[in-house]
Parts: sequence; structure tokens; C-alpha cells
Amino acid sequence: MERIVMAERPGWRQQAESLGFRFHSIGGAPYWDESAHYRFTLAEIEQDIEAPTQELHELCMDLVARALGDEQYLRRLAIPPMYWDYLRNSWSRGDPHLYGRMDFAYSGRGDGRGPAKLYELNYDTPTSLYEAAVFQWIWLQESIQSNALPAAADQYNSLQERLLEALQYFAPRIPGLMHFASVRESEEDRATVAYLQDLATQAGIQTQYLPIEDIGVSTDGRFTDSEDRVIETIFKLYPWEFLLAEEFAPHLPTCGATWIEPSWKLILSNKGALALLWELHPGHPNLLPTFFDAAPTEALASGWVRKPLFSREGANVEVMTDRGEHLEAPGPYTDFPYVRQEYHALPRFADSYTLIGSWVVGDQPAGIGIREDDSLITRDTARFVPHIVID
Amino acid sequence: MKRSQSIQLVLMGTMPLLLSACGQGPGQPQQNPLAYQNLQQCIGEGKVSADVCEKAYAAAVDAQYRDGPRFNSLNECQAQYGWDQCHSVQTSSGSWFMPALAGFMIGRALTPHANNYYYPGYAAGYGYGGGFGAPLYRSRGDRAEWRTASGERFGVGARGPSAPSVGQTLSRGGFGSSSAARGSWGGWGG
Repeated sequence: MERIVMAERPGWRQQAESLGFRFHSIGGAPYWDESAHYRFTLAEIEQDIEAPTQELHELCMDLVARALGDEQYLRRLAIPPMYWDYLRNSWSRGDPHLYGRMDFAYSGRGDGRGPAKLYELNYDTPTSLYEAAVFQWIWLQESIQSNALPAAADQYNSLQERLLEALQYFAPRIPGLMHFASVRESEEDRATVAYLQDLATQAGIQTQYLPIEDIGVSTDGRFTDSEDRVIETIFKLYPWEFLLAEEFAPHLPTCGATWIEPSWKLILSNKGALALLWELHPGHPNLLPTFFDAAPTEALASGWVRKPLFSREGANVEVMTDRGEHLEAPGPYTDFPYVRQEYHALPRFADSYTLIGSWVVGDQPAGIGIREDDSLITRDTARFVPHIVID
Repeated sequence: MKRSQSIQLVLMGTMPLLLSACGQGPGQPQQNPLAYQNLQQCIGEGKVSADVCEKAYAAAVDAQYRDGPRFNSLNECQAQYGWDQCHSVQTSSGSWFMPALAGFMIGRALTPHANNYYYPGYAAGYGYGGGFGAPLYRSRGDRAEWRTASGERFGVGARGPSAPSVGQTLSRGGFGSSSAARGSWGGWGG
């Protein structure tokens, strides 16, 4: 694994905008950053990232089954008891899941370098999907065409094909419209949803976008869209812990709608899952020692990271490095318990700290997207950098 | 190759031409593997002709008796397929217990992945070959799920068709408040 500096394609910004990727820059700074890319060998990808992703995914699915069958697990994960049966029914009905992302610290093969370590699971509302699936792919194709990269260059990214297959699998099981929802104001979330809606359309599904704030409830307790149509199947880019805490939550068990991601994903989007994975598989080479934090108000010891059970984009994460350096990211997630995870530094390439997002579609590993941040905590402003695979 | 062979977008924009890892045009959406709970559902949905439905169903019933799971006792069968799924069979060649037919396949998963929970793989076409008319069973552990005769998962059970309905909306805005309360913290993806 190497970081390689290369000239940007002229006109990529206009291309991004013409393809619905309008958040390619954040406050004038690039979010999509093709001034460099990462180069992996096939062995690094297949043995060090793809295989562990498959294995960890299976441990995750086993954990869901185990947690739903044991109240102690559900309690430790701070899942509201009144919705335990709702989650259990969703799981035993086989409500389909579409996608998830694991974030790994990995720096390639060589002296002093170890296996990929799982930082977090983003199994409920993962984003950075479109840029990984589509824009990264276009970058490679065009770079090969312009001879900036050799024709043998490949990319670990079958996201679009896998997502399309998954949606084609859903298609005959979706009775009518499939709604796609996100919060009204977030352009990034809107783009992720627009991409999935695009793929669903290609899969032959009738789709309708709906701001999550516009969902209604009918006289007979079903959810409706802005035109009073009953919601039967809905993809939502909105956290389950929010849905379950809000005014319409009591209608969820009886509304008759199929939600994607399904409610049982709440178990895996929960940082407590990291503690339970470690408890069930201590010493697993791809897991970091993680524990429920019994004393979340006490000062963090050196070599530990504190994370809220529910948090996204690095918000409210606190780090005490092994050298005693203290970092803290602000955020809105202060109302849940915390876990403590052993500090394992992100690798540094040039001036950036690099995190690998490894995608799972359905139950198969499907590719990676790389984020670079100037900080040890990868935040929502972290740059997205493309990659190639070549031996 | 570890990347998508071709990519197209239909709503977000038009992809640049000549972008295909294999030099082909944009990929055509593949067709889905098809399966039905019963003959009426297959004919009613009209995706394949009634003749195809009948042939597949007959093949499934035939295969169920010929190659389907067999048990010496009712208990053994129920342990695997659930208490209400098993019945006894008596033929000239012997008697046994077997699970009820819960569905039948029209198109087959061409690339089954044993480890997949819900996606057994996808047919490139209906490919009335290998899986055509294969019987599907309910499993004891997950009643919404189909399994093939060899126990392989075949995805969530098909739901009956339902007409799009319209509700009388009583109120709106019952979702989204956590987002508003936490201020403008970008999106809620991660």
C-alpha cells in the first residue's frame, strides 16, 4: 500500500456536478481529492481487507441473532425494551438489508505492519457510497484512457454491480412504490439517497423521494407520503436510534412497512457491538480490545479512545494517545453510554491519516473507499481519495 | 477484475461515453431469480406464462417426491422444518415423512454463495435450466425464508401482491425531530 501523487484530471469538478456529485468540495476545500491515490497489491486487497470483511460480517450477523435472543445484550446496547420484539420480528421475518461499511486502520504489508483493525461499523446509515461506487470508478477509467495509469490497473470496487443485484433481488418482493427518505437539509445524504434511487429505478422498482420530516401517519396507523400514499417499503438514511425516540415511533411495529436498512441494524450501528464482538471473540486479529465504559465521566487513560454508543462522522469521539496526547471531536451525541476502545493509531501517509472504508452489500464484501484527514479522528470533512489495485 | 464492469446512471446524470472496463456498452439490468409460493400466485402475477408456471410447479412436486428431504420420523422432520410443515407419505416404494412444498423456483441462483444470508445469487436470465421447477421449503428457524432441498437459503419469502393504497393522513412531522434538535450537524449518514 502506497500513496502516489498524480495530476488531477482537468474538468473533474464540472464532471462531478453534471453527475449529481455537488458536494465534491466542502467550504472551498476539496472533499473529492484526486491529487493522490493509493496503490494496493491484489494480496493486500483480497487477503488483508476483503477476507476479513467477509469474516467480520459473519461474526456481526451471528451477533445480531445472539443479541436478539438475549435480553442482557439488548440492555447493554441501550435498546429500548418496548422495541425488542419489533427488532426480533424484523430479524425473524428476514427483512432484507442492503449495505454497510466497516472502517479499518490498515497500512499494507511490510515490517512492523499488522492486520487491518476494525475501528467501527457503519451498518445503519453509511454514506460516501456514491463517490466510492461511481466517481472513483470513473476516475480510474479515465486515467487509464489518458495513459496516466496502466491498463492493468484495477480497483476493488464492485459496489454498483452488487447494489444493483441486491435491488434486483428486492424488486419482485416490493409490492408497489419504494420510498427513499433522508433529512431535508443534508445535500450529502440527499445525494446518497438519489444514487440508490437511481439504482432502484434501473432494477425496475418504482421509486419516490420523501423528506423524512414529511412522513405522515394515517387514521389506521400506517405511514403515508406527501400525497397520502401508504408507505409499504422505505429506504431511510436516518438513524434507527432517532426513529425509535421520535413521536411516530409507537406506530412502527404496526405500520406494516418494510424499512431498509431494517431495524435490527440498530444492533450493529451501535458501538456496543464492538465491545460485544471483542467479548465473544477476544484476540481476534482484526478486532481492537473494546469494552463498555463503566466510568464515562472519569478522565481517559493513555492509550484509549472513548466513543458514544451512537455517533457518526467521528462526532463526540475522545482520544488519549499512548503518548498522552488528548484529542476530542465535538458533536451532538451526548445522551447515550460509551465504549472504550484500545488506541490504535491510524497510519500516516504524507501529512494525512488514512482510514479504509470496506463495503458490504447484502452479505458480500464489495469494495473500498479511502478517507484522509489531517487529524487522528476521521471527521465528515475527511477527503475522499481514490485507489488502484495492481501487482 | 475487482471492479464493476460497467456503470450507468439514469436519474443522476449521463455517464461519459466509452466508460466500460470491458469495452462494452452500459450494462443491461439483469433479470431476477423468480420463485412463487403456489401456482395461483405465479399465474396471477403474469411475469411468465401460465404454461411455464404449471410446468415449473409440476416439476417441483415431482422433484419433491423424487429427491426431496425424507425422514423416518415425524419428529426429525419437524425439528428441521417446523411443527406444521411435515406430513407422511406412503407410496409403493415405501413410506416416509417429508416437509410441505412452500414454493417453487422459476429461475435459479446461478452462483450460490453458501454464506449468504439473503442473497443466494442472481440469475443472468430466468435460465430455465438447473433451478427451473426446484422445490422450496420453509425452515424451522425462519418462517419467512425459503430453503432449497439441500438446505440452502433462498431469500425472503415472496409476499402476495397488494394494490397501492391511499391513507387518510392524520398528522405529519413525527419523524425528524432528533435531527432538528441536534442542530445543523451535516447529515445523518456516517
